[in-house]
Amino acid sequence: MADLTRRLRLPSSPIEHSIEGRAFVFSAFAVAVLAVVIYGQDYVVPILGIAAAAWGHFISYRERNRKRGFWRQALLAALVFGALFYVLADSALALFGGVLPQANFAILLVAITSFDLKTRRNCYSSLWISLALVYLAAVYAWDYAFGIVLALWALCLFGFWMGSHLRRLTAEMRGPVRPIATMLLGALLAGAALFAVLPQPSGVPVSPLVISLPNFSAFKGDIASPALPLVQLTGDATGATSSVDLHFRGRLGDAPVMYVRTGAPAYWRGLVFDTYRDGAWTASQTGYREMQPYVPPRLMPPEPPDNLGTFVQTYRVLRPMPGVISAAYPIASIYAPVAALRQDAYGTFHTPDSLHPGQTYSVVSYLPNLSVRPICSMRSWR
Amino acid sequence: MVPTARVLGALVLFLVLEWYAATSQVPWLFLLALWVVAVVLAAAVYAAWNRRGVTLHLGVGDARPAPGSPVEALPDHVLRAGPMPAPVFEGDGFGLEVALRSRRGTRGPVWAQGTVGGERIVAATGLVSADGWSRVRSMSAARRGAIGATGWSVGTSDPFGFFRGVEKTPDEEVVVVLPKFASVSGLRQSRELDASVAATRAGSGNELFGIREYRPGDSLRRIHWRSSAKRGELVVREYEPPGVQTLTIVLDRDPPSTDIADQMARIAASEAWDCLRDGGRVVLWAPGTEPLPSRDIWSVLEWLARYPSTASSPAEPVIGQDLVTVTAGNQEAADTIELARSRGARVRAWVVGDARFDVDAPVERVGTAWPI
Repeated sequence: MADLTRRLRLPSSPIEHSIEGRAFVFSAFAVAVLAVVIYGQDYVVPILGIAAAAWGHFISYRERNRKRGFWRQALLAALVFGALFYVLADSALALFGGVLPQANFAILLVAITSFDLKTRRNCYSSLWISLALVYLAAVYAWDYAFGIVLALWALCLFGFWMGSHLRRLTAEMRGPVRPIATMLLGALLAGAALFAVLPQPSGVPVSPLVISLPNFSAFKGDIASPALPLVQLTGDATGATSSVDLHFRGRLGDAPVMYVRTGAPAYWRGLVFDTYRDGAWTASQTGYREMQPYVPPRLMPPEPPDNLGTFVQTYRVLRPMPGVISAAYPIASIYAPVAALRQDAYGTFHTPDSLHPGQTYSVVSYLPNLSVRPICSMRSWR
Repeated sequence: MVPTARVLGALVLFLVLEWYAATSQVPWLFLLALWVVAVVLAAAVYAAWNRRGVTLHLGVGDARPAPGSPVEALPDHVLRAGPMPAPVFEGDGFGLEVALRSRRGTRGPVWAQGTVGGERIVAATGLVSADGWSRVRSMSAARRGAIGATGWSVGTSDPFGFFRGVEKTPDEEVVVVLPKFASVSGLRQSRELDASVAATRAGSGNELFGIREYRPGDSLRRIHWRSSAKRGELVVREYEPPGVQTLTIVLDRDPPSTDIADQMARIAASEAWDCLRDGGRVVLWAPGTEPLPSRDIWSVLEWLARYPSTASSPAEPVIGQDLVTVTAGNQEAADTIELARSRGARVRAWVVGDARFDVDAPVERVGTAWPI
């Protein structure tokens, strides 16, 4: 057993003495936080996180040669658990506003562990968490300017590689400026060119993609409670309704209600109404079934004939919305971080509670074949 | 040029980014993954470019004389003719200069590593400019003899450590640590070693000083045919001008220990220094080696620094009017003294250690401690 544990143990990592390498690790974190601030409109935790991480880096570098103290380790572990409590509370109850709890958790994690950056492996860990932050910001990045942020983060990674390599050689952080600049510029341009030219494969997620935690509230029954200012609605506590009275139509606004990242253009739909009378649409069927928050393809209806495959959509809610899963239908599989899902008679999925800002869910949908022949061949068209 | 483990790490990072990009359909991750791969490929090109044209040079940067070092007593005009930048004597510290030069413009990172005098040396830089790069490594007190640089190699890589190349360099001699010495003439006088055995030599003023290689313009009558036949090249006799003392210093062929050899070299150097300082000439010889006639203290010291030599030669010494043997009690030394006496030379002997040494000549016994 002891032999097995010895073999499974990671090789020891050297103490990172390169102050330049550590500066690049911190810079990578700062770039990632900047991306979250710009593209996630999240401000308080990122600013606090940057300040704490800067202090932590200073402490870590100054005390890198000292042995780790028990009480400090215990305190840092307690803070990590505190951050975990934060992300649970913010995800489930929106105690701190519910804005990007995953990103805030990652920021807090980097800030806390910055006080314990002793080895090169620790520095790599900090880098990878900041990479996760970049990923979270990339989910919401819709303009090419994000490429600059990404390039800055990549340069920080390359800078850390250079700093740690030269320090390992006991060399100073210097180099032929022009050749190195040429190499980096060439690599960035070549990478961008390959990015433009190469096809980007699309894979089926093997696990829920979005870092999120379930909302533990349950379905609360049928209480009339209009939720959206857009239209007059009557429905349950989630804001979902069985009728829309067009006499009460409100005013449209420009504020986005959700961000959707999708692999293909599609029609998204939510509630279905099948009866129109006196200026109001109503849903005549009221049956439903409850399902787990992750609905795999085997629990869904068979895939439509002549479909062109599947594609993934990731939704991030920006404003309070009814508890209705808006998505491209027909759905192959769905994951929403809630306690359970309800599917109505029209196939629309509902959440137990209304959707809060910051909530995310992902859907895999079939890509319908809308060419003439398949449509004409459908039985209903004969 | 070989890839390092970091290439594997970059490849893993690329695959993780590609996988996440493909499953989450966040295209930015594709871009980041491609940048990682592009940098690795660019680093390979850089490493191939960087490994060309860098050469290693090892030498003495400076010397730090120890207390009692002969450097402090040597006059400036003698020091100016010495090894550059400074002579290194036993016990002196010195700075080992590790210099990297590039024939094709700036390069870096470059590192050099190897062993000097049994000590592992590593020197590295991120930048070798067109003017070169050097670092001086402080070396501790040295022992007499040649200090060699062995197992040296020059390594190059890209700035990120993805690829590295190593080229070995031939072993070389970095510095010759010279024996300590001090004037012993005062010591001899005080101990009345300078007494007697004075015999007037016939032919004084036209003494044979030694032999050297033939140079154009030399008289053919001076050619020493027997030595020429032995050497396979023409050599001529060299005569000293009248009135110049020639001191022949004879050492043992094979001293019993390093400490005794060191002490013999010091005493021989001291005798040579006294002679040369007074305008004389010195012939150094140990049985089985080529004799060294010299008027230059530095060549004498270098010969003594390398003593005992592993080279083998059947040559015999040229015995001038004075002969000093420095021995640990060797019978060959006694025979040499008898031979010199038979030729009418003034003879003295230094015996290092307690060995019995019975000769009909003044003998001074010393231990291995210095100064004596």
